[in-house]
Amino acid sequence: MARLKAPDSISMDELIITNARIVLADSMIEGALSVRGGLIADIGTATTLPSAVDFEGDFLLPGFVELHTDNLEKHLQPRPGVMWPSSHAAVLAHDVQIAGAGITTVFDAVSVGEYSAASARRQVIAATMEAVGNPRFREVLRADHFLHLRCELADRAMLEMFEPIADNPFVRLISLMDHTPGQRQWMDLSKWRQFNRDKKWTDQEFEELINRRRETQAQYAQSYREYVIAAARRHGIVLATHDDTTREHVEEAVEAGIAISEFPTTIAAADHAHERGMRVIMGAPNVVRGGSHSGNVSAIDLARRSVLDALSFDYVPSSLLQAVFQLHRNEGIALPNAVAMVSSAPAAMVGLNDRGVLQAGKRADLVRVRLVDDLPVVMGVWREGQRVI
Amino acid sequence: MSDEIVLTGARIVLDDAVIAGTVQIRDGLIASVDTGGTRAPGAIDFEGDLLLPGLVDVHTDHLEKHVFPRPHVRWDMTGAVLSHDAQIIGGGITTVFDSLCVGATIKNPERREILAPMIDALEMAGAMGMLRAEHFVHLRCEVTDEETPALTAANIEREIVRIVSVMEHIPGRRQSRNLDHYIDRRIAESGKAREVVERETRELLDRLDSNAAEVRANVVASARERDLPLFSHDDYSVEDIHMAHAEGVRVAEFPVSLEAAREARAKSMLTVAGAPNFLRGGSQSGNVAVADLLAEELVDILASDYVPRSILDCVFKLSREAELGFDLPAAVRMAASVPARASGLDDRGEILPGLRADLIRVQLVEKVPVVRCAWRGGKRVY
Repeated sequence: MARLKAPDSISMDELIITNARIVLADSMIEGALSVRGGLIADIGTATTLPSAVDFEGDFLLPGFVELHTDNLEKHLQPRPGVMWPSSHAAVLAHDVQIAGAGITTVFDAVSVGEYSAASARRQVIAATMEAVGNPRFREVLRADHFLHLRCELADRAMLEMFEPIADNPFVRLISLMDHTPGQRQWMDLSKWRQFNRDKKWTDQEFEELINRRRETQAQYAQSYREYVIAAARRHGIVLATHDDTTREHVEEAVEAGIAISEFPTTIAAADHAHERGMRVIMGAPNVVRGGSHSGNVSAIDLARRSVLDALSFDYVPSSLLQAVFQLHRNEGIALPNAVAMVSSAPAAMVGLNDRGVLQAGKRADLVRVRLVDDLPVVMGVWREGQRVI
Repeated sequence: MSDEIVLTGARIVLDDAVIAGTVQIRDGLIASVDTGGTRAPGAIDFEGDLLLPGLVDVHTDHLEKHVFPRPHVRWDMTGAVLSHDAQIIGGGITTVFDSLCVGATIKNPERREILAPMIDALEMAGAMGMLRAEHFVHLRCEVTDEETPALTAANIEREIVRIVSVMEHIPGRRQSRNLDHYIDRRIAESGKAREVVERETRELLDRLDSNAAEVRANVVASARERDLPLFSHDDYSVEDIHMAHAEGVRVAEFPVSLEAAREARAKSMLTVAGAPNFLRGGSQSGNVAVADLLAEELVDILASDYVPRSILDCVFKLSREAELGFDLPAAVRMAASVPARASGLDDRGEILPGLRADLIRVQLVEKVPVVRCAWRGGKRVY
């Protein structure tokens, strides 16, 4: 390892970090990293330059890339039925949480489809587009925000919600989902009923609801799927499938040229997706909690079979970091490989080749992590060399 | 010199004015506040951004949301505390009283189990220097649960506990006064006959009532014995206020009627209002609108309730709506110095030499306040 090149001149945007345990793409070194113009300039042995930020042996990781979170929706609707009056305030609160978890690039999921009119999803979509798309506002956001349209193919309203937003320049990922009970995530009807136990359906209501949902699925899912795939192609947007359960689901995806399988629900589907060259992404809470909250396949089992490529925090932002260190500690996965699951792998899946790895020339999106009693804690976050946390 | 920080070019929000100037921080305290600039090398230029005292939040139940990120999914406590803390500091709050439920309501039986682990995690994370804001605990004691006295006794001695409040969730009273709604909902949920539900409801009310008086007296005595600030919750009637005042309560949280708020003022009690209520233009449960309380100048303290950054948004919204009669210093007082005093903290809450350097830098972007950075005890934490 070479000595860190001393910068020619110290400019205002120069950042030097030293005494860090730097997690590179395939190894770890103890040393220093310098930043110039928002990009990583050099990585080398520790420096004694007085202006350097001393990491005191803490980890230096690439900023995380999160492809799928409905966290913003939670801030737009902080309590059921309560639509927050300022979408800007909601996005700021969400952004703080994201950056605080070490995430420097986030794809905010927008649910396209509503199932019931009472869900206020349309208002949520409008608010999301307004807040994330406002250029003046993007300047003060700590993380880099993109949008991920989650298209509910078995919902009649999906299409009219999708059309006006499909060409938004911040939409960089579209996933195809079908939450009709009795298949995919909700293969087991009793689990679905259990998950929705607060709704206290009678047996008859439950039957009727399922029949209605199946009818809608039969009527719309196939044609909507074709429509969305064509639109994604037209706009050059990356596609993902969701909750693949069978080999057939995977084959359908491959046939459509889809290379990302989000949250496959069985080992068979994950194995097959991997065999067919798809990348598999699972929820980090699944890793941290040691299983799926809807009773499906455990992400740790997929990691053990080496068919887990990337993690998404799904519903707990800090779970990404927790899952990385848990996979490393408990499953013996080398730290660079575990870190790749939350940085370079998801970045590559959506074609963001300028970030996700600590390497000269890449964006200086950086996270400082300290282990406190085995719990990884975010101590600082830099986006393009600027400290944001 | 090394631990001296100079903030300049700031619009400094004092308790009664906004001045353009410079603040010096030394040894974690505010050393000086002056109008005009500075030549000090290394001074941080605010470029006209606002400098406010760090906000003080006496009531948020937001931690629970991170403990249960999804219904019935319980997260590890330390992780939950850290996520919660990030939201708090992002909302400009440097001192927070996490209001944790002591005792269960019918709807949330799990609240009994999570109390001690939540406090453990807050203490541990604070001791390890993992938290950005300073966290204290506000014990919200549910007087209808007979387990409340034991739970209170088990936790009230802890150093981190600084506020105690009494709350009473009984169908048909205070926050939820419409008993018919309750009965209708129970019928729909349980599928039982109306007579059965009505009888069960009567039995429930009798039981809750008989618990409530005894439990309330117990909690009040415990708080007074330890000289902890005692708050009451959801007062509705003049009698509710009189009872609370007689018990030694000096702060009424979220009064649900104008009458109660007026009586609290008459008794020189302070009133806490939920910032979300004002921002949303009314109460979620159909009670008095905070805007109406503000119009009569009956609000002393703003609390974030369930949305951490709502205090900050509320402060700026108030200062913009001139007809309500609050300028920025007046609005900030309700979010910093008054809640600090009401909760027994006299070392913070204002930008004044000698007080703790708990400060936030706020930039307005399209009228929305954005917290750029925060210092707690002179140390940059955000």
